[in-house]
Amino acid sequence: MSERLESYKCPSCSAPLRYDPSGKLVCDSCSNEYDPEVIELMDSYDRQQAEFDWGDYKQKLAENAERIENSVVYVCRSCGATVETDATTAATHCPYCDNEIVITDRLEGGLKPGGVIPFKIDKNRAIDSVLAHFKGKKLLPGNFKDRHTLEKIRGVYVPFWLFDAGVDGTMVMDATKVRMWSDSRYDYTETKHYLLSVSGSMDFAGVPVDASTKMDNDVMDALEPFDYSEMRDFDPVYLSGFLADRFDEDPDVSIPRANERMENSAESVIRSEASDFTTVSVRKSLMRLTHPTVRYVMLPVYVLNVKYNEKNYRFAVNGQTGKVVGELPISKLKSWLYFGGWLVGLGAIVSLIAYFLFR
Amino acid sequence: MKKMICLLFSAALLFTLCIVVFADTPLLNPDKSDNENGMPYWYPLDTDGFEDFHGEDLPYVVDDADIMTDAEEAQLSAKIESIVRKYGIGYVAFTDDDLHGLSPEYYSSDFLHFNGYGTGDEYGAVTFFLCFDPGDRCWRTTAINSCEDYFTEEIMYEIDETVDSAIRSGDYYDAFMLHANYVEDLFEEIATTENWTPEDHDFKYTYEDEDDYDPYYENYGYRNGRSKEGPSAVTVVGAGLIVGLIGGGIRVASLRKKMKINPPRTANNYLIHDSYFVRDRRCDYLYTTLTRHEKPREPSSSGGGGGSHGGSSFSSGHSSGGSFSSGGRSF
Ligand SMILES: [Zn+2]
Ligand SMILES: [Zn+2]
Repeated sequence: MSERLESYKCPSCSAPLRYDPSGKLVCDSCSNEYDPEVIELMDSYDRQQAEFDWGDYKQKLAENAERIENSVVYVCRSCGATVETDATTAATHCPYCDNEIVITDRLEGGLKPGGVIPFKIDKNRAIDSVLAHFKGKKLLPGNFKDRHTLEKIRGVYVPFWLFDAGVDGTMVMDATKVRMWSDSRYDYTETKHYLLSVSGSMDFAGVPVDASTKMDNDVMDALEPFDYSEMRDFDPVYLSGFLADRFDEDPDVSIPRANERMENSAESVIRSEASDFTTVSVRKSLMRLTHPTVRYVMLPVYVLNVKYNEKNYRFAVNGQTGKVVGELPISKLKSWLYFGGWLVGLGAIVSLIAYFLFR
Repeated sequence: MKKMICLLFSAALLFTLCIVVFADTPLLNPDKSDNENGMPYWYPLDTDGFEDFHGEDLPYVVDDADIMTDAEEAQLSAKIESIVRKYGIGYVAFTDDDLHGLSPEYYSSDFLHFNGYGTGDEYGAVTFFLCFDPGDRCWRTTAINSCEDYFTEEIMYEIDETVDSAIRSGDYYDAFMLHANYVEDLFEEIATTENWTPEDHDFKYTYEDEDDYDPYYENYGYRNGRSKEGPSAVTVVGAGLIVGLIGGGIRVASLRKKMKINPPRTANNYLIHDSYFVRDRRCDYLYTTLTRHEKPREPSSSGGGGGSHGGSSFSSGHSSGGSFSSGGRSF
């Protein structure tokens, strides 16, 4: 046992700890003393690794694989997008790059999703939402709105993976309590360091990650939330008037994104257990997944592409809520005008105040 | 034109304010309890924008530590009054037993400034301060404004040698009289020597232990007049420019941020709230760190070389009340 104890490092200064006959672990460098039990606990935490294991979801998805029937499949020769719709809907342009798309019969229908949220708002409301989004954006180039044709906006069912799982385990945290006081000469700061571990569990349902490489993950995440209570079983009738993209991003690529979000959430929830500390930082997350499942669904999104200064700007509108997401072009001229105005105005005011205060 | 009127008006306002606040010396008030800021009774409540002034009916001895008899005080007072009248400088004997958290040099400098002991156009004054604060028993010769230039470290050393044994043997009145005699001789010398500088002085003691000097002293020479100007145009415009740059930068950055996408980084929307429960919470104490920082308002007084006799210290600087030079020892 003593050999192991000797190899521990001081949590305060990282110098090697020495086992003292008093029963404590002592640091000769900073002269702190530690309870061996606590140092051992800390060490065991540090040596553990936890990973979110989503299990054999791929096999399950493959077992239940069913194709969408009677759909017309289009291919974009320009960007390679593969979209489909029903026989009554005429599609002419790619929703992602605006180039012409052609029908192909070499491909069968895409994987039938486990659920779909139908479009709730129509095209006109989507356009109104985009216009409202432009309002108040002071750096938007003045001619931007004229150049584009909002009419080109298209409704696309975007494939998503939904991740459901329980998160269970222990979050290990470095926590401090800080106390400050003063005498006539000095300001004192006392920081007490603690090893805090909270074990618990929580469940997540439907953490979404888009499954299409054509859609930017950041844009899709920002489109949330979708109201899952309006999720329906898939029926080809929902395709009428809309396009459906098909998944081409493996869930393995999407998983780290979902993991990160769940871990961040678990962390913030568990941090609330440490509200009596001044600072808390996560040392180790030893959480694992319980009952994980992965679902394949389609969510309604209006897509609009606008070219400005040779660059393509894509807007996405949540087809259920009307929320608009998209990076906007920034007018350099307007940026400099705003900056200059503030510089001169604020500078003049501060100069005047400084002059009268300190003269 | 408008600006000129504004400036004149605020100057006049400040001037009247000074007169209203500082004309009556609080030193003659029998109530010597601390003011509401916990500072001594003679300390201004607000030290911002303080300017030196000529106090009226100022006592020559302020024995707040109460170490002298009334008779001693009267004799010392008469002695100092004769020096003040003859040479036209501000000079006062001062004792106290509480530094109110300040260093002795700053405390005595503030005492001179805030009570208006300065005389003449340049508000020169000097005090011999005997400090009986339990945490810092010491003496200081502290000079402000035009008097700073006379009390160089070599002069201070000579004063300290002159009064040292009297103070250490508890003969405080004698020490004050020795100090007064020294100051009288020094000002006689200054008055009768054309363009006197400290080098003209015939030193009886020479200070050799140079390691003990406050390095600040190196730059502290005999100066003629001091500039007491406000901030220069460059400083004012520079400050405005910096704030303007920062403000403009923040504004544009926040406008630009509106143009970007802000994807969520958590799954809070998908957390089933009733599902959360804590099985165990364990908290183990590890260690404590304690740091201390000297308060910024009180510059360090160089403690000297230690030992049973304590060291000399000499410093000069600016307090809330203005600039000073000061020297003395612990006892
Ligand atoms: Zn250590
Ligand atoms: Zn395309």
